[in-house]
Amino acid sequence: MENKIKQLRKGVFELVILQVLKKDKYYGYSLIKAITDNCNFDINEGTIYPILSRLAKEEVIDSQWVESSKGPPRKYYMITNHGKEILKGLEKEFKDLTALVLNTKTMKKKSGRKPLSDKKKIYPTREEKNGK
Amino acid sequence: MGNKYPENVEKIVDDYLSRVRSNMKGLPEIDKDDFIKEIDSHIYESYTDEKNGDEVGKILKVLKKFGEPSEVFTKSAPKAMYKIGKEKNIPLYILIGALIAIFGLPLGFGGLGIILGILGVLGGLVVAYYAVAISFTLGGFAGIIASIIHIIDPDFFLTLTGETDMIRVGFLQISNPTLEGVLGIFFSFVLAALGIFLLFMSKYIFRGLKTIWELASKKLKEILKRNKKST
Repeated sequence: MENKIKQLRKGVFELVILQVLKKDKYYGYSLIKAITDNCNFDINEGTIYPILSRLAKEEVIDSQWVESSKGPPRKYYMITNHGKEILKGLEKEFKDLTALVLNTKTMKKKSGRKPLSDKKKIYPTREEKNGK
Repeated sequence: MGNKYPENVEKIVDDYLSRVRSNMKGLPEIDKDDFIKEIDSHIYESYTDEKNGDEVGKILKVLKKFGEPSEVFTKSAPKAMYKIGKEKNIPLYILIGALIAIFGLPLGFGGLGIILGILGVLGGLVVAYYAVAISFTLGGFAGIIASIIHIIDPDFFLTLTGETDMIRVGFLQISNPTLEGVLGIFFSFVLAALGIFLLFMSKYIFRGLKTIWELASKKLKEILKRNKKST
């Protein structure tokens, strides 16, 4: 269960990071603060770095080391134009997904079995393959 | 990392960072350095933000919030980040490498024939294998039945063909029908067992072939798609 929650969070987290970075540039620590200050979201702060690194590798965001007067230099992140496009797509997808979740949650029991038989029809070849 | 912390805090941070580093396997050194620098910066900011408690209490709280290095940097992370494509692609590269080594041909546009050849050979092999296995099994059972009938009624097959006048000699050319029948049952049984054994073994034998098959057909699809685009 915990693992499932983690996976779900990771996907949503990417979207949240991009939304925040669309507003302004942030460095890792300030980004975490910006995200978690407004709500009670319990997450290991460190997990943001692998995500940022991946996003940077995909050129969705860009980064830049900036000297700080208060201590060690900070690595600032900003969204790229490509990232803005990606964000648009993600936001739409997320909206659709939330609608889907709410829809299926309130779905009546009678039609509950339908998707299963549909699924069988859609993927006959895979089952045949496995059967062999 | 400089002298930005009191000595005991510095030690804790250094130990933590070294644990982070040891969890970043498979990353280029330059990326590791960058990561460590960034995390060090984060910890410092977080530490200076922390108002309550003594020095050690503060840094432990900061590190707890950051997360255990093994949790933060293994599951989600660097490995996954630097893995290009899916794991399945790796055997394909090996396969391509082997094919280039064997045929001296890269599997690009001109490799279509080779891929088709591989698929053809594999397909033929599988069909032939099952044909042999099934015919062994069926032949064996048929042999057993025939032999039993031969023992009960030595003339059965002769009457079936209408050649009642022929000398009563069966398929093994032995004149004693009972002995012939027993031997027939024995050989048929061996044949059937062999067939069943082959069928049973097929799932082990073809496990490897299946992978090659999948890889080759995937590659074939790619080539066809590319050709479609270029024409």
